[in-house]
This record gives sequence, C-alpha cells and structure tokens, in this order.
Amino acid sequence: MIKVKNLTYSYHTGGKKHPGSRPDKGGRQVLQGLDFAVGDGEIFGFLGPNGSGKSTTQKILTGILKGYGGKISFWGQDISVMQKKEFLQKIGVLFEFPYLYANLSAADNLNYFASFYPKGQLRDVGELLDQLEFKKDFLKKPVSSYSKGMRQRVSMARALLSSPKVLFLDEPTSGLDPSGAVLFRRIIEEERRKGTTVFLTTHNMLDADLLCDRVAFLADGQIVAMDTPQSLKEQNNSGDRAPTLEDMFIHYTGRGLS
Amino acid sequence: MGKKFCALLNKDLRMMISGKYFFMAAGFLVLYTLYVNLGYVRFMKEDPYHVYLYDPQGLEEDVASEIIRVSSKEELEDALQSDGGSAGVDLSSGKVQVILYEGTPKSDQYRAAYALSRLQSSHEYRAEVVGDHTLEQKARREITCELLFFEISAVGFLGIAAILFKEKNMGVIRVHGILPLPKGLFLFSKMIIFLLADLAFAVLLTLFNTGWAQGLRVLPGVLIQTIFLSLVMALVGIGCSLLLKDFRQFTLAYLVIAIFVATPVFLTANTPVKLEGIAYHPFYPIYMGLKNAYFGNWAADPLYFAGVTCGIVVLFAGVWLAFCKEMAKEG
Amino acid sequence: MKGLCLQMKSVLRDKFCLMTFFLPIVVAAAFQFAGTVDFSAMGELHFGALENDLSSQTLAWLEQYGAVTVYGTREELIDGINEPSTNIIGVEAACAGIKTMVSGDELEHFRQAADALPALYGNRGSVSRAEVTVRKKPDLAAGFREMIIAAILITAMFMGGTFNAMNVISEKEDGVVFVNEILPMTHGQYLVQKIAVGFLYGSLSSILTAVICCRMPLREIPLLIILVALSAFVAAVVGLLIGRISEGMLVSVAYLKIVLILFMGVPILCFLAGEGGILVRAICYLVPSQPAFEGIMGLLEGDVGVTLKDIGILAMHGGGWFLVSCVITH
Repeated sequence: MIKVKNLTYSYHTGGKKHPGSRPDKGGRQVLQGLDFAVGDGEIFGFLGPNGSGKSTTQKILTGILKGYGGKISFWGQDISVMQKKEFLQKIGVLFEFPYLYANLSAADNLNYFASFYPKGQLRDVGELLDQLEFKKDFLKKPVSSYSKGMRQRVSMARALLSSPKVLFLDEPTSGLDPSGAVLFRRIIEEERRKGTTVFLTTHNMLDADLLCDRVAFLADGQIVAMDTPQSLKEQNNSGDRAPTLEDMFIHYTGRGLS
Repeated sequence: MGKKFCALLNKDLRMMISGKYFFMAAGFLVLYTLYVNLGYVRFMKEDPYHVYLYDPQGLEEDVASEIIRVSSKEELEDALQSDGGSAGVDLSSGKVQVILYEGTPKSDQYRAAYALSRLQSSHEYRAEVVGDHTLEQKARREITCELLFFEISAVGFLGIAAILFKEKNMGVIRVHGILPLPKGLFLFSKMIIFLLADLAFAVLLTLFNTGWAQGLRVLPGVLIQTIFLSLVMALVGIGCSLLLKDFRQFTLAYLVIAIFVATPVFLTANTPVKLEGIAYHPFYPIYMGLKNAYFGNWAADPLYFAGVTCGIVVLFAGVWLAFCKEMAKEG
Repeated sequence: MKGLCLQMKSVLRDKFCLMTFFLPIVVAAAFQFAGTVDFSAMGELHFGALENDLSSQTLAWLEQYGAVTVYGTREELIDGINEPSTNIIGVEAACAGIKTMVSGDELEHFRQAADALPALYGNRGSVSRAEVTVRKKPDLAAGFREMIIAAILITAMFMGGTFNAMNVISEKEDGVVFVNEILPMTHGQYLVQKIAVGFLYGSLSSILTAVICCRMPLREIPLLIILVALSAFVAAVVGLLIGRISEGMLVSVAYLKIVLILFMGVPILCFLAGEGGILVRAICYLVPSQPAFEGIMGLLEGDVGVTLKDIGILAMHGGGWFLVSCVITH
C-alpha cells in the first residue's frame, strides 16, 4: 500500500517546495504536489508525456532520489525513516533499459543479484526464466550475445527474483514482439493475483488499458486525471465513437504521444 | 567540399574536447615536463670513479688532487664498501697495493691502472671535445624524444580509437554512409585534427624540455618526423577501432602494441643492447628519424621519405576499405 | 560470498584484466628462466680508433680496458663518438703517445677515463709492479637483479587496481550501476565486495610472481605475504577510486596509466638515485609503492628492520586510502 501526499521535487536544489511556490532561481520544479495512493495488489498506471515527471516520481518512490517534499509511506510507514535495506528487499524494479553484466550469462547475472536478498524470499532462477520463455540454449552464453527481447526477459526475471511486494515497471513491453508483450502482460497479471502491487510507467496505451486497475495522467508535474480506464472513457464519451486511452492521453495532457 | 570538411573538423574537435583529450594531453605534458626537469636530469648527474689512499708513512706526497686520503685501514674498507666503483691504494706495508671490488675483468684492469696513475701529480690533459652537446643537453633531448614517441604512439593512438569507438557505439557511422560526403573525408578530418594536436604537443614538449634556443633549432626536423609518426599512429588507431569489436578488445591490442613495439625500439636506440633484425621493425626507422632530428643529425633521405610516405598511403587505403565495409555492415 | 565469486568471474572474462593478471607472471618467468640481463657491459669503456693509425700493441693495450672499434675515416670516427646511444672515446696517435676525443655529452667516468688515458698509456708499465687485489662482492648486476625482481613484484601487487577500475567502469557502461542503487546492499557491503575483487586478484598475481622469481628464507615469507596483502589492498582501493571518478573507459585507462607510471617510476628512480634528503624520502613515501618496493628490497637483502618499518608505512596508506574511498563512494 503506497500513499503519496503533496509530493514536490525540484532538480536544481533537490529541495522541498510547496505547491504554488516559485522554484529556486535556475531550478526546475518537476513535481508540483502529487497526491495519490496505490492499494495492495493493485496495478497502477502512471502515464504522461516525456518530461512530465514520471521517471522522477518512480526514482523517488524507489529511494534513488532524495530531497523531495511531502510524505511518502509504504505499508503505513514513512519511507524516509524506513531502513533502506529492509525497504529494498521488498521491492522489485524493471528499468527502461536492460542493465546487466554483459560478460556474464543470464544465470550468472541472476544468481549474482539474488545473492543480495534473503534466501527465503528468492524464487528459483530456472523456473523464472522458463516462465519468461527464455531460450535455454542461451542460458550459459554471455548477455552481450542476447537480443533486446532476451535481455528484457532477464531484466524482468531480476525484478521478480526476490518475490517483491511492490513492483516498479518502466516500459516493460518496450522492444518486445507481440507474443513477448502478451507474455509479459500475463506475468504482470499473475503477480497481481499473488497480491503484488504494481506501479507501471508506460507510453504503451494498450498495456495501460489492458492491465491497469487505475491510471493517473501526469502533465507538467501535476496529476490532471486519475481513475479507472473505463471511468475515464465513460466520462469523456462524446458519442461519436468510444474514446480510447490514447484519446484520453491527448485530452488530459494536451499533447500527442511522443 | 571545404564547408563539409570544416563541419567534420568541428565535429571531431568537439568530440575530442568532450572526451577530455586536450585535458589529458595537457596533464601528460605537465607530468613529463616535471619529470624531465625535476627528476631525470638530476638523476643523470653521476660521480666519477674515486681513488682512496691510505698512506700512514707519507710515502707519496705528490699525488693527484682527485685522490681522497683516508686516515685508517678501517676507513679505507668502509669507503670501498660504500663506493662500489672506487679503488683503494694501500701503502701501509711499504708496497703499492691496489684493492677494489670485482666489476668486469676489463673495468677492473682499468680502475687499477687509473688508481695507480693518480699517484702521480695531476695532469693537465683534457680530451678533445668533438661534439656540440653537454651531458644535460643530450639527456634532455633523449628523454624528450622518448616521451614524444611514447605519447604519440601510445596516448594519441588511444585517443583517436576512443573517439571512433564512441561514434561506433552511437551508430553515427551508418549515418555518414548516407550523407553526400566523400567517405575519405571522414577519415581525413580525424587524421588532420590529431596531427595538429600532436604537432602542438611536440612543439611545447620540445621547447619546455630542451630549452628555447636549442628547441627552436631542432623543431623543423622534429615536426617533420612528428607528422610521419602521427599519421601512421592515427591510421593504425582508426584501423584497429574499425576492425575490433569494442574498446575493451582495443585496449588489449593497445597494451600489446605499447609494450612489444616500444620496448625493442627503446632498448636498441638508447642502450648498447642491440637486437638483431631491429632494422626491419616498422617503428625503428621512424624512432631513429625522430631521435636524429632531436640531435640535429637528420638529413633529407629520399629513400626514407619515400618509404614512410608509401607506408602511410598503403595504411590509408587499407583503413578506407575497412571503413567502407563497416558502413555497409552497420547499414 | 556468491556475489563476490560472480564479480570475480565477471572480471576474469575481461581479456584486459586477464592480461594484466598474467603479465607480471610472464615477465617474472622470462626473467628467471631466460637468464639475467647483463648490465656490466654498460659501464665498460669503449674506444674508437682510426684504421692504420694506432700500432697493434696500442690496440692490444686498449683492448685490455674495453672494446675497440676501428673506423675507416676521421668523419666516421667522430660520428661514432657523437652517436648518442654510446660513450665511445676516440683514440688517435700523438707524438710518442696517444690523444683522446669525446663528444662532451658522456657520463662523468667516461670523461674521466678519456682525460686519464694518455697518462695511463705513458705509465703502462707501472701496473705490473703493483699488487692488485680484486675482491668478490655482490656486484652491481646483482643489485640490479634485485631491483628488477622488486619492480616486477610491485607491478603484480599494484595491478589489482586495474581489476577494480575495469570492474567499476564496466558496471557504468553496462548500466548495472543503476541496478546497484535498488539492491538491498549496504555501502559497506559494496565497498567490501569491490575492494575484495582487486585485492584477491592482485594478491594472487603477486604470490605467483613471487614464487617464480623470489628466493628468500622461510622466516621472511610471512613478511612478504603481509607486504603483498597491504599493497594489493591499497591498489584495490585506488582502482576503485579511479573507476568511480572516471567517466568512461578512455579516461580510466589514462588514469590507470598515470598511476602505474607513478607507482613504478618513483621507487625505481629513488633506488637509482640513491640516498636522498629526509624531505625527499618523505615525499617518496607518499606513493604507496615506495615502502612496498623498499620492503621487498629489504627482504631480498636480508634487512628485516627496513621491511618492518615499510609495513608500518603501508598499513597507514591502507587506512588512509580506505577512509578516502569511504568518503568518495558514499
């Protein structure tokens, strides 16, 4: 359960700001008082154009960026006072790009990252890769020989390895062929059924439409709309045709998908 | 064409600046200059052979002024032990006894003869000097030559490859493949910009370390040799970066080249150790050309110039082919 | 432990690191089994003479003191004298004796020899009247041999820095540095793992090198191991710092080059230059390879006191560099 209250962030000073206050001279106010909550086992989509503050929000929530304003709590506990190691053991992160040791194999990469988590919460590497339909004959080959899709599978396996309570996914189906994208959606659904909370950042409106329980549209550092995809479509149904999430995106953010 | 070439030069210059190439070159220049002026030149100062005389009975009053008289046998022993190249003369028994620690048979013979000769009063003879340089001038030229050769063949070579690898990683080489641009210009602009950087480095290193008067005298010859070396290394660097997969593989090749290419050349050129077949080593004539330039001995040898020019042309042709292949592969 | 093993596996797959691991071992083996480099010839006199100028007795007399090269013309003789890589003393016949020529840029004892040679020639009978005692001593060549062994060991010890630098740079290039930020890994764990990689490889390379080229009494081996361990630790920390501050492979290779030149050059220069002032020695001790080199030389020469002092200095280096790495990596 994630609760975010009045989240602000400015890149110049990394300091606390109140909504409506002017940023520091030369600073850029990226987040202007975000308020949202994500329930346990919910898939929450965070959508918006480039530069709207999605990645910044994700970095703050995963503890990478400090110096934010407002309050963030996970499972009722303020993140700023939580033990960092304890917090990181409970989350899994899939980055936008597949960051792996290029000269180690998939198995070696996963075993290496697994070594940082308590044994009790680890999933079997072989089973995980099977679930992700990773080609077995590449298991021992170095990552440098993998295609983008294979690297994405290994990165996803890394995110899921520690059976996280909260999963942060940044463009999970980027670079995957349609069958790969379908597989990833199935796995994300599977995680939701297990009770994992998923914080999904994506430009892929199909992913957002099919997966998310609720979505929030971010524009210029503010949440401009937040509801279930269905409710948002119904609210904006002008009758000519059923609006798509893409139409919602353009409507709420005021710009085309870039 | 001129505008396109200037655009390429501008792009390469900016890549060199962003890759901190000039910053590193300046750093190495300072390091080398400090090393030469504060370390190497001082180390070259060396004592001559000493002769210690133990003459308790005063048998030899009129000896050479260089002789160091000691007052006891223990003092003589201590002096000989601490000064390994010296010779001692012991007259305590009434007979002339020369004591020295083993060197080579010939140097032992010489030191003994020298020690005995000091028992006569100083001679005024001074050997005729037929050269133009002092020991310090020679040392400065030698070390400056070595440092310049090392810098261009190791550091510059690394720099040009790093930039090309960056462009490979960014994927911009394939973009140049579809630009209305003669392909050779892409390579040529890199060669020119690195050549200019190497020439500037050569000028500063020479002037800072050999002195302004001496430096200016030898600079024309040094710059001509620098041009040859710079072009060769630039082409080798471009070739390696096109043929090898990534920068990591390149650093391996670079280490091999730096150690196994430079070492035999330095050993042969600067010490009495002469390796057979060194004349066939591709870098030996270039290094000797540079060294001769520093000593003002270089002469316009048509064969040498023709050979180096042909080598550069052949290298360029090979690199151009590799570049075309690379563009086709990426495209 | 598992994570450390996999980090080490990752480093081993890097051909550059593999080569730096084996380089000192190969050099040590070549030095040990291919025979020593004979430096003694470099101090010997070398004479140049004109064809048909000196008598055969004079040439024979010269040959007892050094090699003689005969040149066809005076110009060739002068070119030979002026050749920068040699210290040839030109000898010509003059009246009843000889006269000598030098280039002016030779070392002092060659100039001294050239000045003294005519007088020596004139008194060439007197040597046979004197009693000459040549004593055996660990000669200059042996001293150089020990210096070369110490230099090879220093290279092995401080190569650990390369492994660490390459490891950290690879993580930056592969993007793993971003993943590290979300791993439940404390700062201490990160430091220990990174330093351990360089420390273990540096120590292993040094021990193998030492086994090949070092011959010392058993009682000195624990001291050598301590020296190796401390040096490898310092090198690992320095390598980690280089990896952290470098933006890419090119910059890190340049920094590594500077550091290795400094680490190799300072002890060798200090050794060759001989005893310096207290200030000079203190400045040299700022470079961690200087106490390491001195410690090894002490062990090779049997002077354990010097080694113990240098171990103390190295330990201080280890502590200091570790503190710096804690601050910079945090």
